[in-house]
Amino acid sequence: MSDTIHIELTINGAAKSADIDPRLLLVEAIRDTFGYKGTHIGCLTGDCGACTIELNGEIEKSCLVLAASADGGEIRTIEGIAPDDGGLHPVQQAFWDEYGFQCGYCLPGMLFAALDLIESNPTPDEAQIRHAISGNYCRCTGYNNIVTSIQTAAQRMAAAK
Amino acid sequence: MIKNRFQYLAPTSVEEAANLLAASPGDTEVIGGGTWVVVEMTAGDRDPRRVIDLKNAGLRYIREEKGAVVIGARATYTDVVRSAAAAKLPALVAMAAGVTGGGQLRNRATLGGSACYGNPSSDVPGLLVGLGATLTVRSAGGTRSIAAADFFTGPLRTALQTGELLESMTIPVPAGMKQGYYKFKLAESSWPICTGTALVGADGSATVTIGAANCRPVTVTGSASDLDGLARAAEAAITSPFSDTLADGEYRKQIAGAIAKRAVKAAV
Repeated sequence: MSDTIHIELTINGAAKSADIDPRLLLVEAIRDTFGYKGTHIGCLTGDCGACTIELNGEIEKSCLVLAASADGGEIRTIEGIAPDDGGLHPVQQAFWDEYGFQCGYCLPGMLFAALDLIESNPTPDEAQIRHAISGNYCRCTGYNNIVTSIQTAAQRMAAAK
Repeated sequence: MIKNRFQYLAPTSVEEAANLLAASPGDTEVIGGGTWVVVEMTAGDRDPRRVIDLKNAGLRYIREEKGAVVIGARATYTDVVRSAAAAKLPALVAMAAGVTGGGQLRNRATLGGSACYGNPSSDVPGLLVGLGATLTVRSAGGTRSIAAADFFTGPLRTALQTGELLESMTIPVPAGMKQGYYKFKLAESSWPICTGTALVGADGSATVTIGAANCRPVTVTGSASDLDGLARAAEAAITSPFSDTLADGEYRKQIAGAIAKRAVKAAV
């Protein structure tokens, strides 16, 4: 039985490779092997959504994926959302302006869920927003400010087009 | 990190996967999306020596074949929602679009994995039984077909034998019948409490399969013009109510009739 397996990934545009233990979860590889600590570990059961990343263009919960299974994949983490000029992405700015987070632990997952929704539906209503974040738990805000943040982000992004 | 060591295998065909499984079936786990098995390995509830990942095995497809929709074991819920072939089965698409866990879950989790897990309190078993699906399972010796109604044998139990893996699910397109899917749950992030899959013929004949309420899905027949009769039949069919932390079995049994009615009304 071989002890390690070689994987190659692209993370936020940068080529990465490592010889990993097959027991490693993708979220652990992203955080500990490759150093992108913005992706959070919450429940490790696929419920809370704090570990959400984008894998090959689709949002996924990285605690549900063996790192070995993601070999060859293109990953975007929360560190890859903001523009290079040091500013915030419009979705991040809206969460900031609308008090869409308190402790911030769920924030990377909420931002990916919001981005995923607005990309496919630029004018979501409240029910569609709540469905879109149904795979993400927040234990601070009571969700109302998150919904408002996503509405604001969608409106600003539509207006900027 | 998962506690105990295992060998990770990613075969490039379903035949190779079956042969690898046959080499040591008792201590091997097969993963599609992995959303159950990986979690249970992380928690220490499963402790395999080998993991077969089907990601490269050519099972991620949905296609139309002879009046049926064939879904490969590695197809995700999102694949179903986006599939032109699956659009012939609106009940299937409605089910897939409403699976709990957010887009993240639907992008990774597979119908095949849910079928193999066989959790009564989930969408897939009732839907597959309700639409008369047939499951094709493969071992090193070849394939065999199992009707969905025979596949789900009890809570977390299926007809899958040691050394077999799920290859595909074949769902006939019900010609001339309207299809409906209705799911009842108590919170946005909740597992289903009771589901109904309805087929309604042009003559008003109705077949409804209730999922999540009984240890195995149950099917009743009646008339769309006698919804109360159908509801009574649905409730009476719940002979082994399924309980979990979300809802007591007796509660599920009591609402099964109402859910049967709603499934018929959802048929379009």
